This record gives sequence, C-alpha cells and structure tokens, in this order.
Amino acid sequence: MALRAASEGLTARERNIELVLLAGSAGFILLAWRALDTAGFVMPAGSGRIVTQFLSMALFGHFALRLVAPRAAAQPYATALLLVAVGLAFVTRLAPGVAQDQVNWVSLGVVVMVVAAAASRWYPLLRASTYTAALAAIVLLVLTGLFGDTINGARLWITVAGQSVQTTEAIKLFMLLFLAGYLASEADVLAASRIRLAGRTYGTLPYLIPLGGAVFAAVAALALLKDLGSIALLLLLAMAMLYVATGRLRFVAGGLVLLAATGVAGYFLFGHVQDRVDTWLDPFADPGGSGYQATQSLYAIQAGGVTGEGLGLGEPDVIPAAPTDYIFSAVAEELGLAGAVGLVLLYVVLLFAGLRVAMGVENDYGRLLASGVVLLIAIQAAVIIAGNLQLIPTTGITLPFVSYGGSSIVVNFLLLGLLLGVSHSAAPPRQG
Amino acid sequence: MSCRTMAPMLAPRRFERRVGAAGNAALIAALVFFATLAYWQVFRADLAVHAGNPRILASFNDPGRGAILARDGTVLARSRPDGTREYTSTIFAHAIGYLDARYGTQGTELAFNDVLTGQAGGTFDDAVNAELTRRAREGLDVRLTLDPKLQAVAAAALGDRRGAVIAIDPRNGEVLAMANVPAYDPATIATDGAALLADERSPLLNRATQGNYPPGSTFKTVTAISALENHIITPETMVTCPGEIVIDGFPISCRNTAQGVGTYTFKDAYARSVNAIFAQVGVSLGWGFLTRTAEALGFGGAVDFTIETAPTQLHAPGSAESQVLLATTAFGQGELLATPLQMAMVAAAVANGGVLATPHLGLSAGKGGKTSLNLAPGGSRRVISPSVAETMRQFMVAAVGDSQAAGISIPGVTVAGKTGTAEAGSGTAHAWFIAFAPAEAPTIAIAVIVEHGGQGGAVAAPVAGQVLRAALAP
Repeated sequence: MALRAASEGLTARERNIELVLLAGSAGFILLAWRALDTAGFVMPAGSGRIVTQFLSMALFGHFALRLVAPRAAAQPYATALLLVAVGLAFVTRLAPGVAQDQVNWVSLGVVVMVVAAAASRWYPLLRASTYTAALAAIVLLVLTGLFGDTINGARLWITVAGQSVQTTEAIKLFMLLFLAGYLASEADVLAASRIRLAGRTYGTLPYLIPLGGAVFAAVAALALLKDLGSIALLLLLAMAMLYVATGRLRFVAGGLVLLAATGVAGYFLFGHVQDRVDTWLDPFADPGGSGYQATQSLYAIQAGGVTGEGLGLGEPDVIPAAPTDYIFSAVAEELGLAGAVGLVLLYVVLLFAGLRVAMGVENDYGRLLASGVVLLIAIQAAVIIAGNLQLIPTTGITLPFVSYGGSSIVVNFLLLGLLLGVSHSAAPPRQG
Repeated sequence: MSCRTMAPMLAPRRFERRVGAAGNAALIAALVFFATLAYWQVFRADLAVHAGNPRILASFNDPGRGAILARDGTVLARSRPDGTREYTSTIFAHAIGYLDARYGTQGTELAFNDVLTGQAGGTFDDAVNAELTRRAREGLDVRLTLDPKLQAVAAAALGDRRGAVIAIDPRNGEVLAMANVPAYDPATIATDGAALLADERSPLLNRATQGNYPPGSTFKTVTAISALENHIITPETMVTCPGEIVIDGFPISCRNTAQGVGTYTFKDAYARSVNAIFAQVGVSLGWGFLTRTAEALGFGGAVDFTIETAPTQLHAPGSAESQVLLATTAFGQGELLATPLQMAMVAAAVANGGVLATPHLGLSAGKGGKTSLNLAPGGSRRVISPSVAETMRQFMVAAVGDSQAAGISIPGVTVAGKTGTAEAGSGTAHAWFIAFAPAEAPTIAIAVIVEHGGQGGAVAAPVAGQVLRAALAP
C-alpha cells in the first residue's frame, strides 16, 4: 500500500506540474534577496539561513504531498508558496528582527499542511463535528473574552504556554467546518420554500435558525471583542457559502444588510470603530493623529507608481503595523502597481484553483469544504486589501500567507492542507 | 458512515454555475482593486508633495537633491555631501522654504520636491537607468524667477520694518522679487522652530503670499475698473462732494484727502483718492458687478501660485451684503482682506493691457546648466477690457503725478501707481503702494506693504521706488 502510494507519488502528474510551478517562489525569493542586497539594505543576521530554510521546507512540503496526496491539484500549494515568498521578503524588509520567526512559522505551517492533507483523505468524518465546531468557536470566543489580552483596542489574543495565539484564526476554521457541514445537510431545504401560511412562506425559517443562531452568536461575541475585521470576514463567508449551497441571492442581500447593521451598531457603540470610520471617510482630516496610519498607507501606495520604488528602496516601514495589517501597501510602494496587481491575481488564481477542486468533488460536504476554504482565504485577502486601499474602513486582519503572524500562517496552511486532501480524494487514480 | 447519504444533493450543474458566479464576483472585486490602485498610484501625484509625507523629508536629506538657483544662476540653496542643506542668504527664506520633521515643509522646496529629487523631469533614459540600476535618481537644479539684485534691494528697502515687497513681470507673470520682513534662517529651523512659531512678529509667515491686510485705497483701482467696465461712469464724468456723502445714514467724508471737497472729474477722484466718491460709485455699481470684477482679478479665493497662498476676501463669510458695507468696501476698507501678491496682480493686469499672466516662481529645471524642464505654468487670461486697462493706466499715471507718492521718480521713466493707507484696528495704518513702470511699456509691477507704517505715499512708495529704480536703471 505504502509502496503503491510512493510509486504513484513519483509519477503523479499534478505533483510534477507543482514542482515546475515551485520554481516561481524559489526564483522570487532569490531575486528578492539580491534586490534587497543591491538596494543597500542591511540584511538581518542569518538571512542566508532564512532562504535555505524556506527552500528546504518548500521542497519538503512538495515531496511529502507526493506521498500523502499525490493526486491533489498542483496550483494551490504552488500559489500559496509564492504568496509566502512575497510575504517573507517583505517581512524581512519591514521587520528584519522577526524574519527568522516568520520562516519558522512557515516551516510549522508546511508540516501542519502535510498532516492535514494526509488526514483529510478521511475528511467525511469531519462532518460529524459540525455542531461541535460551532460550539468550539463560541467557547473559544468566550475564553478569549475572559482571558484574552487586548492589543490595539481589540481583544483577540490569548496566551498559551507563553505564546500569544490569535484565537480568531481558529474560530474562522471552526466556523468553516460548521458552515460546510450544516449547509451540506440543509442546502436543499433552504433553497426550497414549501410551507405557505396566510399567503406567506415560512418553509426555510426553522432551518435557518441553527445557522442564524451560530453566526449571530459568533458575531455578537466578536463584537464584544471589538474585532470588526473578523465580523466582516465571518458574515461574508457565511453569505458566500449560503449562496454557493443554495443559489439564493436573498441570503447574500440579507447578509449585506446584517453587515451594514453591524457596522452601524459598531459605529455608535464602540469609540474605536467610530474613529476608524471617521478616519476612513476623511483620512486627511487629522493626518498626524487618528488618520496617521491611513495617510501613511496612502502616501506609500502613491509613491509606488506603476513599477514601484524597488524592493528595499521605499519607505513603507513608516506605516504603523506595516508587516501585519499594511503589508499590501508596502508591496504597492516597492513593487508598484505591477506588483500589487500581481499579488491580487495570485489570490484570484488560488480561488479559482480551489473552486475547480470543489467542482470535481462528488459529494456536497466536500464541495462546500473545498469552496469554503478558498472563499475564506479570498474574502480575507479582499477585506484587508480593500481596507489598505481605503475602499472600506481599516480592519485589523492579516493578508493570508503574506502578513507576519504565526497563528495566521499556521491556520491558513491547515486550510490549504484540507483543500489538498479533498482534492486528492476527489481525483480518480490514474489508469495503467 | 452515517444515515445521511453522501450522494450529491446539489445538482452538479447548478453548483458549477454558482461557483462560476462566485469566481466572477472575485474577478469584479479584483478589477475594482486594480482601478483603485491605478487611482492612488497614477492619478494622485499630489500626495507626493503633501506636507505630512515622510518621503519628502527623506529626500531632503539626500546629498543628490538638486540646488535652488536664482534666475541668473546664483545658488540660493544646495546640499552638502553630508546631506544637510546650505543657504547663501536669509532674504530668500520664504521663497525657498524649509523641510523639517517637526515643523513641516513649505516654499519651493516643497512645491518642486519631485523635480529636486529627480522623480519628475528626468529623461526617459534616466527613468530606465534608475529602474535597471536600482539607484536613486539624481535631482535636478531648480531655477527660480527671482532676480537676486532686486530681491536684495527690496529687502534692504524694507529694512527692519515689518512688511513685504512683491514684484512681477506683468508680461509673463514671473515673480522678480518677493521679500518679507522679518525673515528667518532655514538652516537652523530644527533648533529655532519653536521660538519662531512663538514669535509674535510671525517670522515664518510669507507675508507676500499669506499675509492678509485691508488693501485701503489701492483697492479703488478694482472699484474704478468695475465702474468703467460696467459703464457706471466715465473718466471725465464730473463728480461733486460737498464735504461728506451719507449712505444709509452712515456719513462718509471726502476730507480724507487734500482736495476732496468740490467738483472734479472721476479721474481726479481716483488720483486724489476721495473716499466718499468711491463709496457713491460702489453703491451705484452694486455688489454683483463689484464682486464679478474682483473675483476675475483673483479676490475671494486663494490665488493659484507656485507656493501656498492665503485666500483673500471681499467681505467676511456670512456678512450681510449691506449698502454701508458696499460703500466702505468700494474705497478699500469694509471687511476686505488682500495679500500683497493679490494687489501686485491688480497692478500687473492693468500694466499688461488687461491680460493677467499667471504669476509663478519656477522658471526651469536642469542639470549642470542644461535646461531639461520648463517650470513656468504659462497661461494668461483677459481680466480687464483693453480700453478700460488703457484708461486705468492713465489714472495710475495721474495718481503718481498728483504727487501723492514720494520717492518714486525715475529720470526718463513714467511710473504709474496708487497709494493706500489702510486703517488697521487701533494702531497706525498700514502703508500700501502698488505700481508699474515704465507706464508706456511696463516690465515690472509691484506691491509694497509696510505694516503699521503710516501714509502709503510717504512710507510704502519710497520702498517701491528703490526697487523700480534698480529694475529700470540702465
């Protein structure tokens, strides 16, 4: 059995494509290091090790996938690693002191991905945990509320064994498992409206209650933690998955209304939300105070122009929280319009690759799980990019695979592993 | 596994359609992001010269930053090899400006930052080279329109009296001199900044472009232009002032000047600067005509100029446009506020036959004496009809001939001008003078203010005289 898997892995077509695509991330990281060096950037101690470690882990992940998920689609891992390469270059450039930490988190993330991909061969078993996941999300939120640390006005962190963990990252994962499991069971009911009473239809209402309850509980708890970004993310994810499962645009409309309502309520309830919205409406009203981060981000983006100032030649490090919340603005400054468009396109490629996997799956749960993973990553990227570009108020969430941050990197690799496992299971073994 | 079936309940084709729709939504979002990126990165170049942009400060300390030169090539500001900036004289302080992390940035250092850093104005080859070699571009030297000789004469003429002189070439809008007293030393702004900001004499204020004063009788030029353009009156119309003229119960005297009482032509009323007559003419004009003329000349907003200017006003925002306010506005008081730049533009417009050339400080940019970029904005607009401009030229020649202005006679040159003595609260009046010369073919227009200096003709006119002599002396 193991021998068969190994021999299948050696000749797997998707893995061979993946190996070719991985040359892209290797090339990027080597070019980035050379560019930083040419720009006169003082590299952190052990910067060579960072590159070596990244390249080794990229290859480790690839060969491990040949063993555990040889038939999984080629694009997701290659695309994610290109995003990681961009992120590593910019974290090194913006916060040299934590570059080694970031590559360590990436290494852990790749291992987690391989384990998740291996385990996800049996992903239908996860379905039994649908309601447990919803409960876990809420318990985790309560725990964060009770024992969490407040950073930047929002209580999102919990310290476990001396290590700060951003619990909202895990909550995302649990909500995804809940939504996929729940919608796989109830999608057909939700899509059809059967019971008519006094000229009105009530068929879907009872079935919406568990979903609405879980999402509402999560949103309410997040509101108490004052994490507007994660609220937006969860609501958008719930909307997107509801649409994909039922095809009912009214759920999308309902979600948008809920999102707007949450935003308006947040505006009047929380001072820091009000500040962020006011800053969003006119960042230049107080460029030295509340508008500082937003205006510095816009100055950075503007400075980039079409081709960018060049890696290491700009000044994106003046933006507060550049390596986490504003890394997209840093990319826009130093790689310009061209680089920023490229980064957006990478998320589009990742989304399309995941949606293609979902279309090839034979069962509802797998379809929703696969599409949910990439929808979650794409929505998160869209929310933070839109915030950086001042299209929406700034939210403190990470750019998946790119931003500095252990919890974010590890959870996103876990999601990627899940997708690869589903993809492998869905693909028929090659004949002959 | 469980009692639930694993067979698909979502019809595959429908699911594919929805997934396709989700993909399309993502593509639309991506396109919105691309458009937004293009908006910020291509169309919002103004952010690059925002005072709060730290990139300006960084570029300021670059030894490769271009120098700022006077029109004859005299170096006014340049960078030493260690990146600090050196200045040859403090009399150009307000034109050059400064850049400091704490005290911000202004002047042409800010206005031409993109040229001085080499981001703008380089050749295509420069851009390609910078892109390929990953080296910062070399900055261009910026040549200003300022004439160092006139600037020195203007600053010396003011001496230690607070005020400003601004001289413009009416033919093309080039600012030849822009002197302010008190000045400051841009080189020591980092250490002096707090003291300069606290100084009640406001040394950091560029009085020429940002100092707002009541223009006094120099504004009668604007009222006269409006009255002539709108055929309210002709130069030879006889006007009479018995001693005072009452507007809405508010008496306005004609004894503000020696020969105010009596009957004389409108031209004489301008030359003698009779307040009551102008109050009456203003009321006949009405707010509509006067406002239209003044706004055409630039009043009521911030003048479009190379560096920051203060918005001027015809009356305070929200004030009722009453007849009394109109009367006092017409002779230059009321709630009028004008900058010396604005009043110099009035003189320049008359001097240039009614065509106002856009005033500016930038001439050209280049490297090693070779010009590669024209910084003059160009452009001009007709603000006074040719016939009225010609009439006003004669008016202003007569006003100077009426010997109200002292110390401006230049042998062989006719000077046209108008004095102003603007009441400023309880203190001594502000002394104003606007002029141009030679009257027949003007090459220089000027505005002078001496704060709390007293009579315009006695105090401001001699300052202008020194500058005009220096400019026109053979």
